[in-house]
Amino acid sequence: MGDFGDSAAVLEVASLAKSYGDVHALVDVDLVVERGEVVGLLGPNGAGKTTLVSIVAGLRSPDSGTVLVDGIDVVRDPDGVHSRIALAPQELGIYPTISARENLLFFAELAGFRGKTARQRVEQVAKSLNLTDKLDARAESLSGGQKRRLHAGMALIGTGELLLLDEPTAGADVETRAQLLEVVRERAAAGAAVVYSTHYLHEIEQLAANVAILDGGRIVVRGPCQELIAARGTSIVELAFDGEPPHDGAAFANAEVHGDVARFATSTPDEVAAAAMRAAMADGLNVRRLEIIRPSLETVYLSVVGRRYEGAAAEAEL
Amino acid sequence: MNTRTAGMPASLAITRQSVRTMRAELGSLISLVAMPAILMMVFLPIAKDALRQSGFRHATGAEQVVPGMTVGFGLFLLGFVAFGFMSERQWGTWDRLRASRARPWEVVVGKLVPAFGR
Repeated sequence: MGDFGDSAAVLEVASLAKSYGDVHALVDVDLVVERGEVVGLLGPNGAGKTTLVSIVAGLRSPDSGTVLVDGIDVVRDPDGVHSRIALAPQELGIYPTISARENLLFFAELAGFRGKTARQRVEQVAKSLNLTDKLDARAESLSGGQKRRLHAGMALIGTGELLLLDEPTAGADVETRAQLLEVVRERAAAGAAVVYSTHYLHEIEQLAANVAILDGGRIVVRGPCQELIAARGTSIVELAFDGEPPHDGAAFANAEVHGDVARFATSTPDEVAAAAMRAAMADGLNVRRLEIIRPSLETVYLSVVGRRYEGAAAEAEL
Repeated sequence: MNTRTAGMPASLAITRQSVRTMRAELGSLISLVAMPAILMMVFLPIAKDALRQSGFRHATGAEQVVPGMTVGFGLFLLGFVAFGFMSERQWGTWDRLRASRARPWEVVVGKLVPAFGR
């Protein structure tokens, strides 16, 4: 690992487009991922994240545009690309009837390792994902979190220059997520380029990843996480009402209203929240929920996409 | 340019994996190996009598039973291999295989060799 050559760009996506009938899954997508870089791919369901990952992995054909991995065109030479990538698809993909060790060993061998080296590699990955005690258990007998770790481990065991991790922590517990993030960080530090699709915004912040937000098949924002938060991460005050929010009055003059939710983007969230609550009580309206979202990736997402991130509620529970 | 990873050939890795998954399904494996032998023992005397009554005085029955069983269980084996591909889809590992360095023919060889190598 780590000896990936000199060229900085591992993945170069240019003018990529893909449609399913009348649905435009990807529209003119450009994306460059360099060695050692982790790109957090964010977006609502149906934004095109999985389509993008599938095209880069050579599992789907684009309608137009180019995808180069280490300078190799995925359409013209898919075999050349496949020897340079490692994929953890969104859906769990493990062999349930054999042991965790045999699952990992297969992907080590498939990556070109053999004999003692392959077995050592299995031990290393199992240790880093806290699966050592479960190596000889049948994969189907593992817990949900252990299966997720095994699933990701099967991708991480290779030496691919480009890691494609499509929601690797979906449904995983906190411990599993922390361990996976640590391994992803290590692989990036060793020089791998990582495309990390997730519904958990905190993971992107923890990875200090660069962000690419997809919406409606287009990349609407791209940049380092902290810079985006500094530039666009205004605090958000959100009030949910029983019924329609007020549309008039000074306190709600700057509110964006979506259904029963009124939302304020502000640099003084505490004052705005207090004023809004006073106005709502004066009008006899019942506020069901008041939330202040401090500057974070979530407020960046809100400001760009115009709605809350789908994983935010689940994330708040963890 | 295609600089493939040196090391274990992908077809060999898939062959080894197919053996592992077959070993885990011991019942199917035993039935595919033992059943032809048992059926041959049952049908040999019947075929022998039938052939001798038809005028083949030196027939042992094997002339009819062995090719018959070979063709019959050969078809079962093909079904077994096809089931192996369907299992990959069911387990969610098919896309992983497709995105691996294994070429399509290597996947097919890796699945066929253990089935017909028994």
